[in-house]
Amino acid sequence: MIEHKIIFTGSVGAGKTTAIQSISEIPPVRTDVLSSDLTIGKDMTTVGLDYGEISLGETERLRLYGTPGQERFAFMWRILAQGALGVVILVDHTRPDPLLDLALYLDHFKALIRETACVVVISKMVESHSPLLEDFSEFMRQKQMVCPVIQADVRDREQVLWILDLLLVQMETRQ
Amino acid sequence: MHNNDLAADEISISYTSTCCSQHDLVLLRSVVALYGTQGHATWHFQRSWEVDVVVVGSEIAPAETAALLHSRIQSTQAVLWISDLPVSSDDYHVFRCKPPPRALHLAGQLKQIERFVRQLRARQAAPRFEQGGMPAVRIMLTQWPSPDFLSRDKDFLRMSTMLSARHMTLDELVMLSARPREKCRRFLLDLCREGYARPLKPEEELPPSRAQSSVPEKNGLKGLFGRIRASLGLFSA
Ligand SMILES: Nc1nc2c(ncn2[C@@H]2O[C@H](COP(=O)(O)OP(=O)(O)OP(=O)(O)O)[C@@H](O)[C@H]2O)c(=O)[nH]1
Ligand SMILES: [Mg+2]
Repeated sequence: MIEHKIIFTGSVGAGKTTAIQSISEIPPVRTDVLSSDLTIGKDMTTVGLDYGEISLGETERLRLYGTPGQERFAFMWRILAQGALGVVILVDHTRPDPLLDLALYLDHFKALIRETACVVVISKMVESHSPLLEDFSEFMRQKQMVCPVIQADVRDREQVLWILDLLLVQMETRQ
Repeated sequence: MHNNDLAADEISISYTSTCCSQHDLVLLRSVVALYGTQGHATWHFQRSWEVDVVVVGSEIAPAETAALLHSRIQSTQAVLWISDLPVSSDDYHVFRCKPPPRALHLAGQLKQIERFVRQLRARQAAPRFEQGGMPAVRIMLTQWPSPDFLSRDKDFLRMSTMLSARHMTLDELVMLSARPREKCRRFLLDLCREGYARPLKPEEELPPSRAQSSVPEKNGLKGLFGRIRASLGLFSA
C-alpha cells in the first residue's frame, strides 16, 4: 500500500476533527474525550489525533491526520509532519488572540510550509471583528511566509474540498 | 530568530512632526516605539521635511494649513493629520486621526501609512517592469492579497495560489494558469503596484526558490495529484 498524508492542524476547537469528518471516506477515527480543561470552553477535545482517509485506487491511499490542538501535545506535531504533502492550518477567529495562535503553528510547521503546501483557514470568522483576513496575511508577510489565507466553514464538505484544491494547486505549481 | 532573513523585506520609515501638542507628541512617540517592537517597519524621527511622513498635530491653526500644504508637503509624502480642520485628500495622501488621538487608532493609522509607503516604494522600484511591457523577471508574491483584490476577478484566487508556491515570469504564469496573457499581465502589475508582490532582483534569481521542493520521487507526483483530484471529484479549472 502506497501512502501519502495531509495534515490538519490549528487551534483548539478550530475545526480539525470536523474538517476531516467532512471529507473522509471512512468513519474518522477520533480520539475525542470530554475535556477536563475548563479554559478550552468546549465539551470534547482531541487528545490523540484524528484520522481519516481517501482511497486513490486499490494500492494507494491519502491519509488525513488532524493534530491534537493543545500545545502540550506539540511533540506529536513534528512526528506527523514528516513526509506530509501539505498542511492546512485552522485558526478559530473567536479565540482571544488568533494571530498568536497562528504564530504557534507557523512556527512549528515552518519547514513543511516552506517546502510543501499550506493553506491558512480562518474558521468561525466574525467579519467585522479584527483581526481581518488582511491582518493575518500581513502578519505572515512579517514572517516572510506567504500562502492562501481564506475564510471557510469546514462543516461544509464543499468548502473543505475547496481548501484541498488550493493545496493541490500549490503542489502542482511547485512541481 | 528570523531577523536575518527579514532584512530583505524590512523597511524603515522617516517622519517629522509639526504643530504637535505635548500630548500629541508623547502619544505619537510611544505608539511609534511600541509599533517598532512588533515586527513592523522601523520608524525614525528626522528634523527635516525630506521624510516619508509628515505628522501635523492638533495645534495647527486654520490660517496655517494652506501654506503648510502648498509649500512643505509633496505629493509622494503621507500626511498624518491629527486635527479637526478640513484637508483635501485629493491632492495629498492624508491619514486622519481625530484629536485627542487615541493610541489604538493611531497605531491603526501607522499601519495604513506603512502600507502606503511600502506600495510607493514598490512602484518606484519597478519602473522598468511597468514600462518595458514586462521583461522576463520573476515575480515574487510577498503577501497574500486582500479579499478586495481577489474579488476583482474570479481567477485571481487561483493565480495568487500559484504565485505563492513559485516565483514566476509572466510567460510561466500564462502557461501554468492557462489564462489570457493580458489578464496575467494586469494581475502581476497590480500585485506589484499594491505592494503584494515584487520583481526578484537578479542576485535573488540564483538560489533555489520555493519552486524546488525537497519532496522526493518528484516524477511520480504529477500523477499522484491527478489521482487525488479524481478521488475527490476536483477538476483543475
Ligand atoms: N461556525 C463554525 N463552527 C465550526 C466550524 N468548524 C467547526 N465548528 C464547530 O466547532 C466545534 C469544534 O470543532 P472540532 O472539529 O471539534 O475542533 P478541533 O479543531 O478538532 O478541536 P480540538 O480537537 O479540541 O483541538 C464543533 O462544534 C464544530 O461543529 C466552522 O468552520 N464554523
Ligand atoms: Mg479535534
